Amino acid sequence: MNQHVVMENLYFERDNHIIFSNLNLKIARNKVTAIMGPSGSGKTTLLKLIGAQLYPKRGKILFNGKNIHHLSRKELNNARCQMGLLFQEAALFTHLNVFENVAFPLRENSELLDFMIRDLVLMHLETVGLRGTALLKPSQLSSGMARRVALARTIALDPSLIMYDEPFTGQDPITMAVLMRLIQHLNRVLGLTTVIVSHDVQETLSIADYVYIIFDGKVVGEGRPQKILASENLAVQQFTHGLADGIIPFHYPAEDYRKDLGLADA
Amino acid sequence: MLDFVQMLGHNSLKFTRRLGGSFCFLCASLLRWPRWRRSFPLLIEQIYFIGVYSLLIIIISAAFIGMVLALQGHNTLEKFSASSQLGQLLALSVIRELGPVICALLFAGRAGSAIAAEIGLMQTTEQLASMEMMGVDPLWRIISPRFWAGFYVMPLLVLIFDMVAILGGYLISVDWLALDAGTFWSNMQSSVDFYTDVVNSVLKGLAFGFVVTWVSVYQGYYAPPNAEGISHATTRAVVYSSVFVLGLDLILTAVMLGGW
Amino acid sequence: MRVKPHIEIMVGFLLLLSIVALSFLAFKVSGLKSYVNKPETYLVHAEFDDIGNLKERASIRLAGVRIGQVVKIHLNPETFRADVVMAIYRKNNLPIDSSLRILTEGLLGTNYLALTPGYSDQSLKEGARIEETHSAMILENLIGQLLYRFKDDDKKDQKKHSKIEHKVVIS
Repeated sequence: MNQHVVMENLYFERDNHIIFSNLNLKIARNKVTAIMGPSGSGKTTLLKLIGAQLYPKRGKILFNGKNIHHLSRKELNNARCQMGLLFQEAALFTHLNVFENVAFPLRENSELLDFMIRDLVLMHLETVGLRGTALLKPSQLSSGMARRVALARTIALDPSLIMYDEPFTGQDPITMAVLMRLIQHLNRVLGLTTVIVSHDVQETLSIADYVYIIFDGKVVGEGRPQKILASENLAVQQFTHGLADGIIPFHYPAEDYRKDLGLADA
Repeated sequence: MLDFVQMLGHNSLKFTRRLGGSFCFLCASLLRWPRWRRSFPLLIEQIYFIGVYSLLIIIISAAFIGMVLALQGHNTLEKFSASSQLGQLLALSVIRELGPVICALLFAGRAGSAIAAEIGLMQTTEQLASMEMMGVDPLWRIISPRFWAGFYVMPLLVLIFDMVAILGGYLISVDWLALDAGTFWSNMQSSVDFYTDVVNSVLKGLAFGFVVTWVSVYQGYYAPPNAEGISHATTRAVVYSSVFVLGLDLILTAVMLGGW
Repeated sequence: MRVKPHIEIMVGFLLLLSIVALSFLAFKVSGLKSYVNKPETYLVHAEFDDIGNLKERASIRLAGVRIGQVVKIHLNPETFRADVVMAIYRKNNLPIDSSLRILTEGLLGTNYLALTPGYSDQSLKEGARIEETHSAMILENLIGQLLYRFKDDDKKDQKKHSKIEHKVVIS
């Protein structure tokens, strides 16, 4: 089975606003798949749909060949333990220190003894290079470090799929390089299927094996990074080259400008 | 006119939907109680954060309220040369009414707002969502212990409030106003009944604890995910639970005094 | 998962404090003692024309000492008088011709029953009836009577005055 996650004819709407119409996506096992699109195109929603925190109106998502939205609560919890979702804001538990944050999923989901948990946590923190911060509070970390701690917490349960929600947003170049290295490292060494949702074109394309570009609830372009960059599709071109105006308009849809200002003769 | 009727219908539908939603939420969080060995430490921890943190303000307020009540009561009773009834006045008003109600209002201000803010923050920063993705049910792990802790702690706080208020009143009446301590206690004892007064006080405490934590947890959990949402949720948690407590108090008092 | 010791200590302290509060409210404030070691009692009936504000659980006193309490008050449908059931502590042997009065503690206090012992050798038994009772003094009635009397006096005075005036006119 080569496909880790398959989406078929996904349709999702929120507040009568269509977010996905007829979305088809395949995420290959052990590969880095990037899902890109302009802000507000529902990329985070897509990850939440995979994690079954949201339910689609129509269509289905197969995780390891099973429809994730039809699992019982127990099966769903097991499935969720096999996938890690790294939120944009890191979402560390503010009342626990770094060590306890990483230990949390282990304590909750396993019956491991304390000394084993301690070793595991320190190993995971070492992986992200933050073993020295074990006793700090999340509020004392920079946002890049917080993301790395969250990464350590996510891999603590040894997932087979890991999803990053906007991992590079608002990071300085050094942190960005660190995060890219970590993502690649985890993908190669642990063989993690990796999904990156992002709109940072250069960084994402440099580590992705396969890219989907979403626009207006549909996939408008897919393929290997080189193919995407050479794409003829107007939306894809506008997105990859960062043009201000194009098929995705600069102006939010509005009434006629002249009419709005009262200049048009009635 | 038609607009008004439409607005009325719209708002009542919205209200009913929210009521139903909060009831479902309540059931969902209460029915998840499967693992005692794990849940018990969580409960103890929440009793600490909810109960022990509210203890100080409740003791201080109780002492002051008891003292003021003794002074005011004495001032009025003296006009009828009935200041020997002060103990009775104090005990009955504290145990039947002031104890549970003021305790609940303070509890809403101290613990209710804290619960709403904490859960709202966890929701906003996606801590609850990421917990869910770790295969841990946030309703079970976060909501349910707070709920039960509020429910257990409130009657304890009411008992402590009653005791401290009566002792505060005793201090004023006997040490300051120089009433006879024996008359104070014996008048109190002959008028306060354990089953109809003290037990009812505790029952009111249970009901109020239930309402306050329910409102606070619900407001926090469904807070809009931004800073404004959290601050509104906190305000609403305190305001709504205070109003609900006072309304419920009327109903409970009517039932307990047998006027129903 | 363990809880930090200071949390456990404080929670234990909270529980302890509330238990202290409960026993304080039970024994010091509400006099639960009378429920716990309930003294043995026997029931005695008495009928009153008017019981005023007498309530259940009002005390019964002899020479100011509490010797029992009112258990139940209801209307006797045949005589239209109030039937008061009292529980008297068993250690007190009371003469059968004792009488009862309803008195008030202070001017505005609660009502209680004062028992005046009689001279008989026979003592009250379970289910006995105290025949001699005095109704409650009802403040409104007293004031009403007083006012009525004043009015009467006024009228007499006025008559006297008018007679005198008449005489003056005639003369």
